[in-house]
Amino acid sequence: MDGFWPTFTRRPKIPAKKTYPLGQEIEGYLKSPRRVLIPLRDDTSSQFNLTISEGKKVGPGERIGEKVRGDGKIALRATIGGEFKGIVKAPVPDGFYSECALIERMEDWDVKDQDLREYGLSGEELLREAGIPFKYDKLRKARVLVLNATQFEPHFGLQNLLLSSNLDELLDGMNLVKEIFGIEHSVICLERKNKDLSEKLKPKLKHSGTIVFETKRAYPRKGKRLLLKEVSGKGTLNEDDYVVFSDPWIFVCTSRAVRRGEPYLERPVEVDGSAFPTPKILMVRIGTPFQEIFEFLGTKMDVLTEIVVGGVLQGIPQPTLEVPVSYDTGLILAFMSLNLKESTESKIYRESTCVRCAKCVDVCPSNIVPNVIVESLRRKLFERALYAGIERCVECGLCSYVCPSRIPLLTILKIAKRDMGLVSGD
Amino acid sequence: MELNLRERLIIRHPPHVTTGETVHCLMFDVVIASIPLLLAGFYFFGPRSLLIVIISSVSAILAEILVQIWHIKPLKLNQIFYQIVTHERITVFDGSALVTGILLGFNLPPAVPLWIPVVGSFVAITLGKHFFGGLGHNIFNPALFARAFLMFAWPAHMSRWVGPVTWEITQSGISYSFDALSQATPLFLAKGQEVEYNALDLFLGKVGGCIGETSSLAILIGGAYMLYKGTITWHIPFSYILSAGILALILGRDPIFHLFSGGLFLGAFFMATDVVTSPVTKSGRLIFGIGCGVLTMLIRVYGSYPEGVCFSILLMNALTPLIDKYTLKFSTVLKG
Repeated sequence: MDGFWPTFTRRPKIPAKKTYPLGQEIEGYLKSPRRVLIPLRDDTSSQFNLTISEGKKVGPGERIGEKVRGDGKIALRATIGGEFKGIVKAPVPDGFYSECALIERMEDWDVKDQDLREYGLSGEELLREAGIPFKYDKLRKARVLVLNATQFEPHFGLQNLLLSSNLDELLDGMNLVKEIFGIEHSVICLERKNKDLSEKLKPKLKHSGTIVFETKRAYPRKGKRLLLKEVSGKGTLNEDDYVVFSDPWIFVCTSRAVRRGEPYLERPVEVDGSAFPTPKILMVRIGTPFQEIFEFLGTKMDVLTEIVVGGVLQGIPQPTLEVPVSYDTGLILAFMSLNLKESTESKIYRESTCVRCAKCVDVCPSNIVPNVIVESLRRKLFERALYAGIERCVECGLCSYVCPSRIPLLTILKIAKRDMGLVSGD
Repeated sequence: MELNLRERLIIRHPPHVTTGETVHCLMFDVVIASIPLLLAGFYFFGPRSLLIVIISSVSAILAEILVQIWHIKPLKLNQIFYQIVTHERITVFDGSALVTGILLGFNLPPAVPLWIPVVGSFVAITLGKHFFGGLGHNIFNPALFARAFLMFAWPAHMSRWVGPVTWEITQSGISYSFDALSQATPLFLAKGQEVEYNALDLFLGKVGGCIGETSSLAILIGGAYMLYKGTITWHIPFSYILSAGILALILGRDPIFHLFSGGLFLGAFFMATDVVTSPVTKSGRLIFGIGCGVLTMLIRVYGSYPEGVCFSILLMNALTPLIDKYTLKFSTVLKG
């Protein structure tokens, strides 16, 4: 009956963070799943063209086509060796249906990944050929490279792990990106509370050309503007000068592509939630369906009720177990329940009317008024929503976390921002 | 090639973790915070004050059920019970009716006839809240709305004050007696001239007045609890009390007397901070508090009523949408 009887203790405004021990390593390696569904689109507007035909056999890392985005072409590569079965439409973690290339594993196939060095490419061409999804047009304009390694999502500990275990490759990758795109400075942002990690990083970073910046609080993935405001200090801020990344893995991949010729075929994924006894960090191939991951971990499928990608605050719910791991999937949460039907849902926790308690206003990191904006959006008063500053929303999800009326503020804001054509940088 | 997408999972919107707080919690926090006020009222005005608060809260709950009972079809006892328990149609379990009843009881003099709280609660719930569309849509604080209604309808009952009681422990038990048959509130006496007062009695509440408003100490304890729990923020009480004190100084009155007498503390911590009828922006809340303080002092000094808290908060409630509208842009530009 939590939420019905009052408690005498204060409720937290920000969810308690789960911290991981620093020495943690990647615990499992799912190298060859039975099949992969490689997402062919990054978002609904991008295009692709495939160069292989149905039934053809491909090796791991073999080029199967390319994605065509606003900033150029990026190679698509088969992530396992096997037979290309065709294009299927499947839900992808970002919350839309995308065409995916279905490749089924063949047992007698050579498992060695393709080496990129035989192309003889270098610089940006090599990164595009390796399939690394940088925003290349932004990188070319930028002067400062910022890695946002603050932990905003309470269960997302992947950044900490990569910073402590893959630091050398990460710094090498950052330096390579700086060199290739002519970027002057690079900054790694850590939360001030995260003392252990910054103590560990500082001596190693001394001569690497990268600075550690300790921020006052954690910033969400899309909170570029807020982060830069703190990083740049006082003075005028030109957002084009900065390019912010929140996934350290992309730099590790850069280093591996340039030094070892490895294309971007796999990434670490954290799995957490009530369906697993302990959170685990796995290395999986891009395109692995979640079902394969859960089978690999030995999860009971019949009690699995809910899968969320991205975290408890901002996560996107997934409709089926066929959803593949995409290029930026970092955290998969799976929840189980022994007996959950629609009728067993508590009536107390349903959405009710906004009582204007202004808890969302007090907690909002970008100082907007979520309840007024959502109220005007529901009445289709888009002018008023713009006036109240909807474009400043960083989609952090804290407003819906604190809302006592259980209004899905974040979901409404996200949908409205997408439909109004407002994009926030990440 | 088609995928087997039949195995559907539950899709819920984020967040997948919440504070666990609901509207009940906000309302019951106010109820918990009002316990020191109830005890103070019981101590200073005798058991009758407790009876008035209980009558007003019970009749507020009954009024809430009666107003919403017409939505239920078919009208059967088990249906009514079901709707109350699940609070689908009858929202009495959200606690707002209880809070309105308790706050209305605090705003009544201890000597009112017992039908006054019943009428007041029905006015508060029907005219004050459900005519505007229920919780979340009301413009005015329902309890203050009912108090204003009662003051205009039965001014004689609403201004019959009794002094604080004295408790005696005798052999036959505990007994109490009133100090005087009729004693006006300090503010009523102060209308026009300065009065002698004992600052400690004024702070503890040993003066005439409404049930909940006299003891500033009890209100501070309750307010501190609400501030700790995050039910209210510091903006409105702080700006209300500060602006009233400063204006009292400017107008040449005794600020200590004006702050601790009358319902200023009750208004600042319990009435003006009503979440539904106060602005949502932070700067708006400050403006709201300042407006309440200024209007309270102006009514007290220049108006014909001795007390101005009720009317000042009602007036600022009416201005809340306007304050919200103009502080919306201001606050985002300033801080964002």
